Order: sequence, then structure tokens, then C-alpha cells
Amino acid sequence: MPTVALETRALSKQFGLVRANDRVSLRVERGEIVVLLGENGAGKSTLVQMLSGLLRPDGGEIVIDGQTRHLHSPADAIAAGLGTVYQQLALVPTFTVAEQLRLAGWSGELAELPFDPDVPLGARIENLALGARQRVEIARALLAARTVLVLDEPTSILAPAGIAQLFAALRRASAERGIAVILITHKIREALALADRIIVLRHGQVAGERVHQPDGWPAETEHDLLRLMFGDVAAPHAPAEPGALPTSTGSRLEVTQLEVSAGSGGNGLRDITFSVSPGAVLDIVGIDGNGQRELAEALTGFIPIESGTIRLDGVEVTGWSPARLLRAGVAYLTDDRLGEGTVGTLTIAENLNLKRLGAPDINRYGFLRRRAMRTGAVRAIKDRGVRPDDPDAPVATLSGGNVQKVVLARELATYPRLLVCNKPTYGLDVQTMLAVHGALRAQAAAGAAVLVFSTEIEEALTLGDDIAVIRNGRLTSPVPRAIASAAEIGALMAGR
Amino acid sequence: MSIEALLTALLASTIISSVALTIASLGEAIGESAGLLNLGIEGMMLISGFVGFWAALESNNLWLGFLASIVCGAVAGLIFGGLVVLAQADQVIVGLAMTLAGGGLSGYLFREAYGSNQPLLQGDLGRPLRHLGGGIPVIGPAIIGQKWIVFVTWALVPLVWWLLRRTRFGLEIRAAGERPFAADVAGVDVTRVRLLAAVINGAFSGLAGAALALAELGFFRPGITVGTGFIAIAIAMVGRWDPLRIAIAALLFGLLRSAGTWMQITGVNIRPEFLQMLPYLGVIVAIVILARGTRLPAALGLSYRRGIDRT
Repeated sequence: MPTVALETRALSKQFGLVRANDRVSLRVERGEIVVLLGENGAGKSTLVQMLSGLLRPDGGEIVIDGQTRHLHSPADAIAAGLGTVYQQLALVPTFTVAEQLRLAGWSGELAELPFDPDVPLGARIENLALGARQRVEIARALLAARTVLVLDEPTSILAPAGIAQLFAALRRASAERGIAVILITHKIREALALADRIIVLRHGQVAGERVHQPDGWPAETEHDLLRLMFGDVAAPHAPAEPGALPTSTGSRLEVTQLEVSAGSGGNGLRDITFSVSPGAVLDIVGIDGNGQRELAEALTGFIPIESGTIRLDGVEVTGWSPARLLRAGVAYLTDDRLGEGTVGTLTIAENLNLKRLGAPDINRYGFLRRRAMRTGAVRAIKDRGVRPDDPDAPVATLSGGNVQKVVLARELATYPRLLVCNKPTYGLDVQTMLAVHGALRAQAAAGAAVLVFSTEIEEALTLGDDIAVIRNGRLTSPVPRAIASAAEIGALMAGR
Repeated sequence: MSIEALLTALLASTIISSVALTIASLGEAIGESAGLLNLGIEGMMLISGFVGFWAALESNNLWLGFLASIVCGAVAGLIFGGLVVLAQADQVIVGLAMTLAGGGLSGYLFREAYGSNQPLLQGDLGRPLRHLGGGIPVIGPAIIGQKWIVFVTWALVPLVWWLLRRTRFGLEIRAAGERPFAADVAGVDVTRVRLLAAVINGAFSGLAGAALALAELGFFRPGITVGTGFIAIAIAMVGRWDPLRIAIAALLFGLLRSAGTWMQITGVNIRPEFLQMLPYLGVIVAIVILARGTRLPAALGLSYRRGIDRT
């Protein structure tokens, strides 16, 4: 029996412009427990989906038990001896536990159950607690996992006691059945608690690995892992020109004890207090999904606020509608450029004028003056370097970077008093990213207060005059860039 | 006529007039369990009914007519399945299109074949139990006089229950209709399961069309189903995809339908149009009362795309 259970060779997957997995090569031995560590967007889920047959790689090979496998479906992965525990739990809610396990190939004999889920077999899945459901999911996955068991962020739905139980079960499964266990997480503490070996993914590539020694983890491992996850960012990039001096001593945006209740999918926001001066950039950095979207939408009027106040130049604007805030000079660059930021079937010229359709230069007695719209659009396209340079091209035909240029051109043309940008450079190539950074700095220099949400520490340290960290719907106090440390920010982001 | 004879006649007509509906509803229950909402049953029944009628008439063989109807229905089901499962077209639109196409095509072909004539089928394949004695009053005579299609239908009820509840294929069907992602991940070929369910659904529609044209009535006429295919969708829902409940609901519908004719025979003075309306009114009431708390299969009407959908 070969001792290497799973090997990936230069596995790659690209979505549009984003290289989700870029030549990922790794080897996992039988009986070994490997933790794949990485922040959100590092490519962990893409890797899981390729291993489990849900996504086909663009390039590279998957070798299981010494055999090269082409996994066209989950059934192929199961046939190859690879089982997967999904983050969303792949169970049929209306089935009983027994029905669910029979669907996954269980014969019905108790002795043939590889893992005791410790729940009544006649209970319906939807009536079980999350922890119990996950045990059923593990039993389901282990029915297939003769060689490899993959778990995608399994701890995210568990309480600390449940996590300890899960880890004990995984150690038992790996020791008794000799299978390789690969667990995906973004939490360093969990990786250190479970792994024989930790592999860090960053930007879709293997950034490095650390091996557990007989006498424990080497000193500095935790610090090393942080560095591998978030990159070498000890020194900030060349500082951008400082923002123009504040035109007034007061704050442009002042947020006091803002709270938003946890809604569908979101964590909610708790006790958010900060302010931004005119001419300054505040960068709020954090791992995706920690409340950035809620905060951006609360400030721009898209979601209701539970308590707290928002002031714009001293005027309370709490609870104002998006349209009213827009008129008051609040511009919003959403991170969902194609879904919320633009209308894909409309042309560049139409999208550029979408927020000012009533303006007299393009609107005469309710009729739109298309020539005036195009003239303005041609100028904006030239200024921003949009490709293609055809004002009549539908926005849906543009690449992600060019869509962002169109959105920027539209939002900045209004000379906003406050500019809120959610992940303004997400998925952009380096050149476009620099152009976006430059445009945001220029807005601040012209006197706007700019609020940027970033997921990259580098960007925060490049762009922000002040930097704050958001995690689980809470915000740290902003600190000036001069005294901010990348390691400290990384630690705050990861929740240590 | 004695009261007993009248009741026997009412029950007998209730039973035969619920047969096509029961079969169509069972087929719809299988399709919906797999996540396929087939609004094309009406059209599938019509075209299969015509094809079976034509085959029976031309070959002078009723059995061949039934076979032709079932094959025609299965092919229609395959077309529906191909469009919504493989091409991932919208189920509602494809279903309605099939209802319109089936109705139009069967009407056109009937006129082409027979013009304004109305040919009738000879014989009815027999009544298997008629040699038996009456047994229980009213119920006994009402049952033993029935055509064999009635007993086939009754046999289908436990058979479909067994298929959905006791077989591996049934488990796969229900998983594909409730959460195709979970089925896929468990190694089930969701595309294959849904295609097969569509074909079975179509074959049942075909048999239902044959039951109506070849067994219950003995003739075909354009639009002869008068909405039975749509009522079947409602009955499957009222019966919560459980074959026994579906059979009972279909019988009650048949009772309301027969009651109209029966009341006219017994001389009750009500407008026939009102009586004809009763069964449909009954379905609306039943849906409001019985189907209120019903939870549809979660993936009903939704296509499944691997790597994208998590439902």
C-alpha cells in the first residue's frame, strides 16, 4: 500500500481574472493530519471543491492512493476513496439519519458504520442540533473516505467543546483507519491544536508549511504562520502624499455607538465608534465577512440601524434613505460591482449617468439627451483609461477592472463629501489597483473624507492615514499609519 | 330504481371516473418528489390519449393502444426532462408549453385522421371480477363490475408507495427533490435520477390518457381531458405526495364529478352547469383546507448546477 494518500501536482483553477488556485502541489501521507490554513479568498474552498469533484481543475493532477484520478463528479471522488465534510453540511433535511446514511451507501448494518454519530437513527436531520448534524455529516463522509477525509471549515458551526470532540474523533479516525485527514480553517489556534503539519495557502498558492516536532511546535511558529498568511508587510510601502490639511477642525463623518442587529447571514455590528476628517483616508481592514458590508450599507442608508448616531459635518443623518444621503454628498462604491454597482445590459454611457438622470445637461423635459451623455462618457473613459473605449459597449462585456473604473468615474464625478468604498481593489490586476489607489488619494486630497474597507494589510498600510481592524462586527480604535504594525494588525484580524 | 341500485351506480361511477386522475396524480407525485414540477400533464394525457386511441382503432387491439399511449407519454416525459434537466430550461414555461402543444397537436391529428367523425372503440378488455358474487351490498356490486384498469390503478397505489419509500431509487428521487446538492455529494447522479423521474411521470400521464380514452369512455375527442391534468397537480399536492392519500383525494374528486350526473338522474332540479362546477370547487376548498401546512419538496422547480448550487 503506498504511504502517500493524496498528492496534488500543480493544481490550478482560474475564475475570470482571479487565480483561485495557482499550481498548488501538496502531499499527504496515510494516517497524517494536515491543516490547510489561509485567510478568506486564499483559495481553500476552491481546492476542496476540486478534490471532491464539484469543480474541474484547469490544470494539474490529483493522485489518490498512487493513481491519477480525473474527478468529474462527487461520485468519482467517492469511488477514489475520498470523502468530504462540507461547511454547509450536505444533508437532506427531511430525511431520517438512517435514510441519509443509506443514501450515502450504508448497508444498514450497525457494524458497518465507520463512525457512530451518537444520534437516534430514526431522528429527522432537520430536528437535530448543528453539532449532531455535523456528526451525521462526518459519518456520511467517512463511508466514502477509505483513503482521504477532507473537512472544509468544520469548526465554524461548533462551540469550543464541540471542537474538542471533533478533533478527538478525527485523531481516532486517522489512527484507527489509517486515512489521511485534511482540515481547512482560517484559525491559527485550531491548526496548532490539531495538525501534524500545517500548510499555508495565500493568493491561491502554497505559501509555506510548518511541521509539528516531537517536542511540540517550534518557537515563533504562530508568528511565522501569521506572516505566511498575510504576507511580509513589515515596512509600509512608500507613503502616499499626506492628505490635504483638514478644511475644518471638525470631523466629516462621526459615528457613535452604532449597532446593527444580526440579520440574514450577517453578524450584525456592535458598538462601532469612529470618525473621519475631511481630506483623510480611514482604512478598515479585516477578513471578509466580519461586518464590512453591514457597516458600509448602514452608513449609506441601505440597512436599518438599531441604535447609535451617524453625523455628516455635524448634521445627524441617522436613518436617512440612500437617495437622501446621495444628495447630501455620500458616494458608495459597493464590492458587488456587477450586481449592485452597474446594470450589465446598459452601456458605459448609460451607467455613467445612472445616478444623475435628472440633471439638466442630459435631461430635457423628461427626454434623455443621448449625445450629451455620450460626450461626457467619452471624456470619462479617456480620463480613467477604460477598455474598450466605446461608450456604447454594454458594461457586462467589460472585465472586472474596467467595470470598477466605470463605477469610480461615476462616483467621483459628483465630488462627494464622503466616499465609502468596500474592497475597491478586489480581483483587480496590479496596474488597475494602483490607479484605484491613486484616484482615492486624489479624492481625499480634494477634501473628501474617504472610508475604505480592505482585506489586505498591504492595502491598508498603503492607503489609510488611519487604520482600524474589524472583526465579528466590532471595530478597534483607529491608529495612525505611522505607528501601525502589520503583525499586530494580522493578529487582530485573525482574532488573537 | 331502488336506493340501493342508485347508490351502487353512484359508487361505480365514482370509481371509474377517478381512475385517470389517480394515475396522473401518482405520476406527478413521482416527478415532484424528484423536484420536477410538470405542468405539461394535461398535454401529455391528450397526445397520449389520441395516439393510443388511433393505435387501438387501426390495429383493432386495445392492448396495443395502451402500449402506444404509455410509450408516447414516456417520450413526452423524456422531452420535458431533457429540456428542464439537461438544458435547464424553466420548468413552468416548458410544462405550460407542453400542455399547449399536446392539446393542439392531438386536436390537429384527430381532425386530420377522422375529420368531423366520431369513431368509437369496440370492447373494453373485460371486467375481471364479474363472475364473483356480490358480497357486501352496494360496495360489492359496485366493485365487481369494474373494468380491469380500475384494479391496475389500485395496484399502482402501493407500488408507487413502495417505490418512493422502500427502494434505493425512491431515496435518490426524494433526495434529488429535496436537496440535489446532498444527493450529488452522496454519489447520486442527480441528472440521471431526474431524467428517469420525468420519463416515469410521462409514462403515467400516458397511461392516464389511455385510461380515459380507451377504458373509461371508449372514444377520443380534442380537449377530452377537461383539465384532469391540472387537477392531478392539485391532487398530488393535497395528497402530500403520499400515494394512499392521493388515491383517496382522487376518489373524492370522482365522487363530486359523478354526483352531478347522479343528481340529474335522480331528478334533483339543479342546473347541470352548477353540478359540473362542483368537483372543481371541491378541489379549491380541499387545497385551502388540506394543503395549507404542506411543505413542498425544497428543490421543486429548481435546476441543479454542480459547483454552484448548494441547495
